[in-house]
Amino acid sequence: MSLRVLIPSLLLFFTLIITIIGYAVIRIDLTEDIEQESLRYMNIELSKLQSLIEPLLAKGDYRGIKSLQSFKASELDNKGILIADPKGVVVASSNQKDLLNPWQISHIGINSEFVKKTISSTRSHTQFSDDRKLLEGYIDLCVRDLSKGLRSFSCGFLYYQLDLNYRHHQAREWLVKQSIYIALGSSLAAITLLLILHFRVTRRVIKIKTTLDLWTKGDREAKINLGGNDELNHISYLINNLVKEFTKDEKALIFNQQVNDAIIQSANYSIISTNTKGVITTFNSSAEKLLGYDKFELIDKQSPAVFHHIPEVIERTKILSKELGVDIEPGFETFVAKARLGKIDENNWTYIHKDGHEIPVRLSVTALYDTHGHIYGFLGIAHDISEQLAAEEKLEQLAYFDQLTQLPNRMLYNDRLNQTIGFAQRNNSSFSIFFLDLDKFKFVNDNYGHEVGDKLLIEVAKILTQSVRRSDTVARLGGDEFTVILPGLDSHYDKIAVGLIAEKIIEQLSKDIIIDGYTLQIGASIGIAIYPEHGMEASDLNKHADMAMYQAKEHGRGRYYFYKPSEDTTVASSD
Amino acid sequence: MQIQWTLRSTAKIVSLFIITCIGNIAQAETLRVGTTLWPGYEPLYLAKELKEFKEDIRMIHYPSTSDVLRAFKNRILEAAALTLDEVVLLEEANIPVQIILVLDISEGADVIMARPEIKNMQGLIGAKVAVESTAVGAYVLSRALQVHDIGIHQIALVNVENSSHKDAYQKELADAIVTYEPVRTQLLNIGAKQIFSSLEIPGEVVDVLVVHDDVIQSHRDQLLDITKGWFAALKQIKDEPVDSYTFIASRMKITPREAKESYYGLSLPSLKKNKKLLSNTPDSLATTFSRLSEQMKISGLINPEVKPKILLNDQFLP
Repeated sequence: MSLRVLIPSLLLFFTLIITIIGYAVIRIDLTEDIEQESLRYMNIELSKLQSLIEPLLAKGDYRGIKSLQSFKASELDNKGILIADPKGVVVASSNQKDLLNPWQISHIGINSEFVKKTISSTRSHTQFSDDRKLLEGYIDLCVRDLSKGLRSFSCGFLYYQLDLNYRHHQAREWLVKQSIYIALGSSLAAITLLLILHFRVTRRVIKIKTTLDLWTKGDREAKINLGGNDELNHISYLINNLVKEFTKDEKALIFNQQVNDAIIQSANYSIISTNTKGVITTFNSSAEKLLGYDKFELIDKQSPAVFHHIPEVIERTKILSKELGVDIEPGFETFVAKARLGKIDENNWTYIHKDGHEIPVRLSVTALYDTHGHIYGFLGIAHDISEQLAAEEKLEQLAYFDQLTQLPNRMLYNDRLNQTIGFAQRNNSSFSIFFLDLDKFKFVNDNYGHEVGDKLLIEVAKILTQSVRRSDTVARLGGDEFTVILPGLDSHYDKIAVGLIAEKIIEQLSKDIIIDGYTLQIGASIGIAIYPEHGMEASDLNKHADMAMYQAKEHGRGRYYFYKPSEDTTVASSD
Repeated sequence: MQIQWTLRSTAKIVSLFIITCIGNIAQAETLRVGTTLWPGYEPLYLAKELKEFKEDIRMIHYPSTSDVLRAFKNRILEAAALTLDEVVLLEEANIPVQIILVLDISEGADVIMARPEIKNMQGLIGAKVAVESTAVGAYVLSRALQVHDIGIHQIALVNVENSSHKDAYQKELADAIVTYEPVRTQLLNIGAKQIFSSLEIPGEVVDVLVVHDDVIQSHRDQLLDITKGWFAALKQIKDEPVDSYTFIASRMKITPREAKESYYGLSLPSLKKNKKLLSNTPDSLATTFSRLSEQMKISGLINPEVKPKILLNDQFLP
């Protein structure tokens, strides 16, 4: 209920209550008070009439008595009056019929017991009628008869009926009138109070409310102008100030928000925020570009299922559960479990584009805290790392592969050699390495140009790769030097089998090779070293294979040669 | 009924609370004192004039003792100044009263005045005598007749109230009048002769202040106040006689000198005397009262069957 209605209603309600209670209380008391007042009145009247009538009776002035009775009878609350002289003869009565008759035959309602009591005691008596609508009074009227002595007197009496019903009626009428006056007065007071309230309070409160309404609807220029010098004016002053400050803050906030939005929207990073349950609240344009979704498709949706690679999530959950020592439910928690603990979680993830292709991203998740330090959401910032991964791969390619033939270079060769040594050591097995040098390559280079030479090298790499198993490593160490690692052979290694492979390679390379229309004839010399027989270290094995290759060349081109320590001058000289 | 009772009690408590709060504004119970015009009662009016009464005391003057008695009997009055024989009449009518103050003792102020032709009491035989038969006059007359051995039937009685005594004499409605001051002085002034006075029955005509039994409780403060005022007025008469008698004379319609003379036949008992008269000693008023009652029985003024008892109350004497 609005103030405007509440206050008047309350006032009228209280007015009504006060009037009703007042009426009820007075009404109850009224009957008793009227009876008491009537009794008092009766005694005074009886006494008055006695003092007036006794001398008249003594003088025999019946006319005087009658006029007195008539006068009394004219009073509205007098229901009846009868005056009997000492002889018992009615000398005045409100009922003319009774006149000059003995009082006993009057029908006015005289109680002879009371008459007797009154006369014998020479004192007044009063009584209420049974229905309490009448008050009856008796008083003696005594006349001295001095002819019979000083004490001789005889008494008549006066009977008086007071109409209580009339008095009650009058009083009730009065009471109703008073109640109406009180009600009217109270209502008037209520209305006055109301007007005062309206002008001093309600109207001004409504003004404040209207202004605040306007303000809520966006009118920042709305101002309260009340006037006066009271609490309400003070409140309106405070509100105005508050609004002013708020507007200022709001402008700053809007500006900041716009700046933030611009940053978020224009950032190259995909920015996605969620509430604590994982429902997406922000989805910036970079995220739209990255994932191919419109933000309206995803805002208010649960995040991980939509654009995450589910098997990856499940896999990560297992790892994370182990790391944090708690059981984590795969899903949104996988992403935020660490952030919840106040840690920064940064990881590579796979996003699924709307069209289904996978996008590798770097995603960092941070918790968002409100002013009370409670987490109200999470912020995930991600960027596409496809190019980075490609670059890394490229770099690796540059570092470990020969750019011309795409075969592993010396670095990767050494690495693989070491790996192979490690494997052979653990398995107590053997393997062999070939060092291969092309015969007559310099001649091709000099006569057909570097371009043809390069193409020849590419062709040689192809032939080598095709000549060995997939598990074997073919590498180019530089120039026309190639190596081959042939791992996975048991310790009862047969040199003949190795020799057959070397022979096969030499045979393949001895065939005519056609490059750019030129038919080229080259050949190859191969030096072979066997682990662990010819060395336990990579450097030893390389040196010995190289040495064997030179020995092969010395023995005539187009042949293979096993390293022979006895022919190793370096060993002999070192001895 | 329960609600009615609660409402009524609440209303009473509230009104009582309000009355208590504004007690000074609320009307205190008034003590109404009825008197006739009699020098013995005048100090009460003097006290009122001097504003000796701090409480609400209303002095009401009645034309005759009969009116005072009637009003007192009908409870229109709380207190009345009456002669002792009138108190006996109240007791006879079974109205419980207490005497709280002895106002005066008539020592010549109650008289029988006669036309100059009547020389003495014996001259009354066959004469028409005016008397207020309901009041002290009846007692004075009966005692006078008794003292002078005259039968009641030897005279003719006319009932005339005190206020009409002078009139009755002037209009020759009676040959003799049983009366008292100031009518005595007034009649002396127009040639009447005094043939009997209360000096012949010393101590029998005593004026007292009587109150209804219950008034003792309901008007305690006013009763204390009236006795205090009474003695203050007596002191005033003694200290400032000229002013006092001038005031009294103005009320009694006589000259200040006559007013002063009207007190020659009166004795106004002091506080000490009052204490003695209202005490329980053999010298007290009780002795006079019972002697008076006996006398009234003999004179036929009261029913011989009744045994009047009087309550003397000295607690209001200052």
